[in-house]
Amino acid sequence: MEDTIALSSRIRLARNYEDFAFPSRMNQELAQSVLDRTMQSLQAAPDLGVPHMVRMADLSQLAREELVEQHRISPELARRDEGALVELLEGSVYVMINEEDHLRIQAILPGLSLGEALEKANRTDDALERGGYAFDPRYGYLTACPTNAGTGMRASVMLHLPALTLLSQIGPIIRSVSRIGLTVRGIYGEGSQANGNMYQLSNQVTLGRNESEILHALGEAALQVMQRERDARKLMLERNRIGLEDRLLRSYGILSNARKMSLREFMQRMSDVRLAMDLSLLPLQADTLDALLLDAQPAALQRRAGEELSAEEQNVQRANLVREELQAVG
Amino acid sequence: MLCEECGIREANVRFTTISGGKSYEKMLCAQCLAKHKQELLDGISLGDLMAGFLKEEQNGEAPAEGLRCPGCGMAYEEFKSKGRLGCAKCYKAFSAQLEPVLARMHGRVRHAGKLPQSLREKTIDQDRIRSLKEEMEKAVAVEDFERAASLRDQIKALQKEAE
Ligand SMILES: [Zn+2]
Repeated sequence: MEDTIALSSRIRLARNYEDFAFPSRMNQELAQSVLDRTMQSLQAAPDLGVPHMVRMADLSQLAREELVEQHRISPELARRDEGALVELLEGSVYVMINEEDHLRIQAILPGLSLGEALEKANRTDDALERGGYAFDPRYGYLTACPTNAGTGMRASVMLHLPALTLLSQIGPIIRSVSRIGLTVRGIYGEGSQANGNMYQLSNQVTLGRNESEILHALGEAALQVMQRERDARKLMLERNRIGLEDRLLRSYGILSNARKMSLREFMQRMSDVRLAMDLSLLPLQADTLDALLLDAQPAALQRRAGEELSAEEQNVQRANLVREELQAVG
Repeated sequence: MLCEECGIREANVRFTTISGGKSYEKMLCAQCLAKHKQELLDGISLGDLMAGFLKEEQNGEAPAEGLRCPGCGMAYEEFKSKGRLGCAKCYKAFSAQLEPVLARMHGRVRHAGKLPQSLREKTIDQDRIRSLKEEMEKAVAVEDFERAASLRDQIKALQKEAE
């Protein structure tokens, strides 16, 4: 059974230049120097692709929010006018500049592919190292927040866990992974109901272990959680197949026909439809769902409409978009 | 009895160390003992460890009061309220305060991951020196100055070789 439980893998490396204060204590001039130095290093590394820098100051609030929805930048970078984003390696690597640290190198790949993501992040890191990193043999890569010191690496796997959520198994999983230095969070805000049953499993410890140890532990834990999700799905089918199928396909019916749809309801029903796809109940493509998930977020809807929309207007536009997309494939 | 070094304060610790291949003993006050610890560590420029002992030295007093990073001017109090450091030099400036914080967060306070290219070759010797330093740190912590001094000599010899 082909499923899409592991949605994506991400590696983020936090780095700082040795001779500048960290971004929270920089003036505009220094912030500009960080941008210049970063671009110089990237221009000397043509194998990473032509670096194109987008400055936050040049983007509207809405455009910044859309980048956040796409997980290309953090909400923190969106708030910083001196911040910038560079895309490399055909969109698999994004470098955030002047976020909490001078550099946040992020590699994002679909599915469970932590090793490959690390390889891409490392290539970028090796090129940027020319700028002269703040590094200490004892504390490793020096970061603004001591929780990131050492490897500076936060690795994560985004997981879709509808069955475990329904069976109230997320709590026990959070407790068991925390014992091995890992953590689980809902991806659209903590404790938020609008997370569409998506969770991010990531490492918490960055100092005292090397990158491959961390990735190994995380990868193993991800595989185990994925297996538990599969078991939970099987259990639900065994106990009440008709009930589950009915519920999932009703969600598909509502998504394909509704005239207005809140973000919260959209996220929940999309999770149902993704599960229906995994269980071969619907002939949908994962790509279609992934794209729709981004296009129906608030900033993306408003950019598409070319104007600011009230929550009520967004709900109508969202329903229209979802209907079109799902009917086009159905 | 009075401290054999300053002759002013009450002596309350026995201090044993090696000098010129011979071990000797003295009764010292806390301040003079701290000075010796410092000298021992200064001898091999052990900035991070040194700061660790500065804290121990002040014993109960607020060790971070008035502490500022010479690199960016951030006060330790400011770091405590914001949770973010101001620059790379903050790590050294606040190392006594950061060590226990890092230990709580990560378990082990010693980088084990990737190194910048320029450091990759030198690491083998450095690893050996680092583990000797850690042993020395432990020896000083339990006030086994004899052993600490002998470790210090081994470290010095290794450092000479490295040059
Ligand atoms: Zn500083």
